[in-house]
Amino acid sequence: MNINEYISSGILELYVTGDLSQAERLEVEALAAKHPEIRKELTAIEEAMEKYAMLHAVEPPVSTLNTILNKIEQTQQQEVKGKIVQMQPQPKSNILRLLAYAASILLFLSVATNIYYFNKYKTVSSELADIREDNTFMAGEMETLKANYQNLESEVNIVKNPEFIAITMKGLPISPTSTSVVYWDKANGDLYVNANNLPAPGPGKQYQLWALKDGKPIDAGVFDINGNIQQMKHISEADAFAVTLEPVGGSVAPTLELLYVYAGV
Amino acid sequence: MNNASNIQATEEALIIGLQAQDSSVLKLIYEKYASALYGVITRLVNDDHLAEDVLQEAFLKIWNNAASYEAEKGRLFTWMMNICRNAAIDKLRSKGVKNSKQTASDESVLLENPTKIYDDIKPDTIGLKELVDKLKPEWKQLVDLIYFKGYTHQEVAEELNMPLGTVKTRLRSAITELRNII
Repeated sequence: MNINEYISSGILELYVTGDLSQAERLEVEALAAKHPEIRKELTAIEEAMEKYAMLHAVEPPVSTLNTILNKIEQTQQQEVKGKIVQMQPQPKSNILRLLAYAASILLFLSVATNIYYFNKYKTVSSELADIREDNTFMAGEMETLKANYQNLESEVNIVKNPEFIAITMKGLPISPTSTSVVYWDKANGDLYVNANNLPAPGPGKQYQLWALKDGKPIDAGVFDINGNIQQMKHISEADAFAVTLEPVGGSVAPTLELLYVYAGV
Repeated sequence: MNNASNIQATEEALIIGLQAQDSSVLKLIYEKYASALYGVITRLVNDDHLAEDVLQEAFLKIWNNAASYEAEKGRLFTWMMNICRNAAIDKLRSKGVKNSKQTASDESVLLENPTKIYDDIKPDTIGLKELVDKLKPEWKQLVDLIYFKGYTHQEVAEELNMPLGTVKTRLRSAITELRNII
């Protein structure tokens, strides 16, 4: 078929002015869908007639709009009440849409709140974990401090106890600046040593304290340089005290070449 | 062009809202188009009270049948106009009211009418009205009889004693001229 002839026949104008039978209308619609030129021409005619109608507009009575909207609202209310079961192509009532809107807003709010609280929860729980960690650390610190304190307290008790005598051993030529102090309770033989400014013993070596009685060395035990006053073996009789450097675990007899500090009682 | 595409965009938005059954959009459509539709209805039924009924019924149909509107088949206004025109014709039939065109079949009224139609033209479109007035009177008459008075082209051919083909080609010429003016 000749499209130009079809267009110029005037049938499209009749279509737009509403002057065609149902069958003719369907034919125009089918051809317009198939041929863009027809569609374009039809649209131009439609636009012209639309403007022409606008040009001849007559204001309807002011109440008409409200009457229409009220009728629509009534129909919707009846539909919701179930008085009318009408199967429309797309029966979406405003109230249902409103409910759907409301539901989606609620869902959104709920999700948003959940996200907010979940984030908050995550922050709080990580803060809590930090606090727990701190707490554990503090408890450890506390234990150490407590131990330190008890240590100090016992050291102080030793130093202050009038039963103990303090004997300061002087540095010998091998280490002239070193000093060490022994605290000794002659009555019951309790013996402590504070030897913190001796040089580091080196690998495989340990300092050993000796009590000397009548020229004979008596093993008073080995000790480490750990900053504390350390309890040694019981010594009931002594004329002097000395410290030598020995292999770890100590020796049966002192290595006199490695005599570090010495003091007579 | 810009303006045309803006109008297009607005119309699309109106269609979406209408098909989603948003009554606030129906209100917008009413505000935009009701007076143009009413202009046609009131000329078709020639009775203010009936015209108001027809406009109400037509808008309820526009609302209830929104889903059946297909944008690819034509503009929203054309679709609504057809609903209004059919509602007006149904109303006239059901009330047994004589169609206004019978009243207008008296030749003097017929000749008078096209001019009368322009009496209530909107004041803000006076410039455009003057342009439309430049249309050949017989072309204007043809458009108005069919578009505003609900005449079929067969009836016009009989009334004006004109071959059917001539009515069709004259209507096309008239609307083509209108397209150039508007």
